[in-house]
Amino acid sequence: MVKWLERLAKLALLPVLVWFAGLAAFAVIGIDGLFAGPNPVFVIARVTAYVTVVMVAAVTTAFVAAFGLACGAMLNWLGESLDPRQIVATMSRSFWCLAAYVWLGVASLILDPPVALTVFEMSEPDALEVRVAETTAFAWMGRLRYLALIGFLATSFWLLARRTRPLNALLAVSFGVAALAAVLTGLGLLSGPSLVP
Amino acid sequence: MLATTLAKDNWVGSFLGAVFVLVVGLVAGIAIAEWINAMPAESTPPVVAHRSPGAEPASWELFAFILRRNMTVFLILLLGVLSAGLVTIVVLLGNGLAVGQLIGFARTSGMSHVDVAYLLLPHGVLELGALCVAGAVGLRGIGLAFGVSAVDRRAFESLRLGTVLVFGLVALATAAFVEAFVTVEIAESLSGRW
Repeated sequence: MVKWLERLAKLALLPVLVWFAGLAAFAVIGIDGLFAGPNPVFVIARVTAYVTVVMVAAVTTAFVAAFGLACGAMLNWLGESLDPRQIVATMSRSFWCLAAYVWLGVASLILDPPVALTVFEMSEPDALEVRVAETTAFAWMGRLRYLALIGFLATSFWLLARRTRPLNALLAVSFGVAALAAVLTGLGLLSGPSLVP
Repeated sequence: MLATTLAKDNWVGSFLGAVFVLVVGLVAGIAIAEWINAMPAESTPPVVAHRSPGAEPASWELFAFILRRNMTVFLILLLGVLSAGLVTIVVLLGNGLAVGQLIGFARTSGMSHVDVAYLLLPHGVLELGALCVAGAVGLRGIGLAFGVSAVDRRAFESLRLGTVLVFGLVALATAAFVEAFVTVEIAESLSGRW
């Protein structure tokens, strides 16, 4: 058992798996708590919400990979010789911060589960936003998201600085952040606002 | 020459893989729509449209909106290259589910197969075809992830991202034009039938 746990701890992708398990638990408690009931309206809402969560998970993985690629490109340009596998392992281990963040959310949802929406509330345009704002867990997750992001970046820097010069690691992380911000801003500007006023 | 290049990089296999994932989503979407429709109906309040009359967007506005949204999806599908194809599979499945549910609900609301085809095919073939091309590029991320230690500049050059982006922009612009100017007209002419 101990040997098995030791092997598991050495697995580079373990933090990503822990994060994904937390996200799945958070989604199940949150979505099933908000949209409870056999009414087709709730079924459609649950299906849509689950598909959205899976998309968010996949896109987050891709953005972290883009961040890692940018970091690797900058380190390569600065003359550091880092194997792509080491970049993947660094990005993966930085996921511990995101994993802690989502599991904190799971714990707070268990302590204070959301109150289910009624069929009549579902027809109101802003009922979901109001209910999300009223739920302590969702409100705190919103406030703590920047802290989780800072933790992720600090861990990435710390892990990179162990293998490269600290200044180069700092430049690589800064370039990664700038590249990711550019990608996110570009996609945001491209998708634009909704046509519905 | 083109055939040799396509065969060498297994583009056809990747494209067929993307089409398969989209079709799986489409079938699942139709099945979900039929499952929801088979549920016993409960009393639900009428859905109120939160849109003032006469506020429909102009055709050019609609064209720009559709093109921007589809280009965003197209670019996100390309991100599969960086995520072992994960984003591509999920987004293609999600789009398939959305289109499948649309078809399923249209059919159960009494719309004929021919009318559904009239509304979807003129722009859908080009639009979904372009998304599958982006999907084919994204799915190549699976191969890149398995050989991550050997990834170099040549591996990224083989993706021909420039050509794919130009093709995507042209194809999606044409599809958006058809959807904004032709499909809307067809929808208006069909609206009295069901």
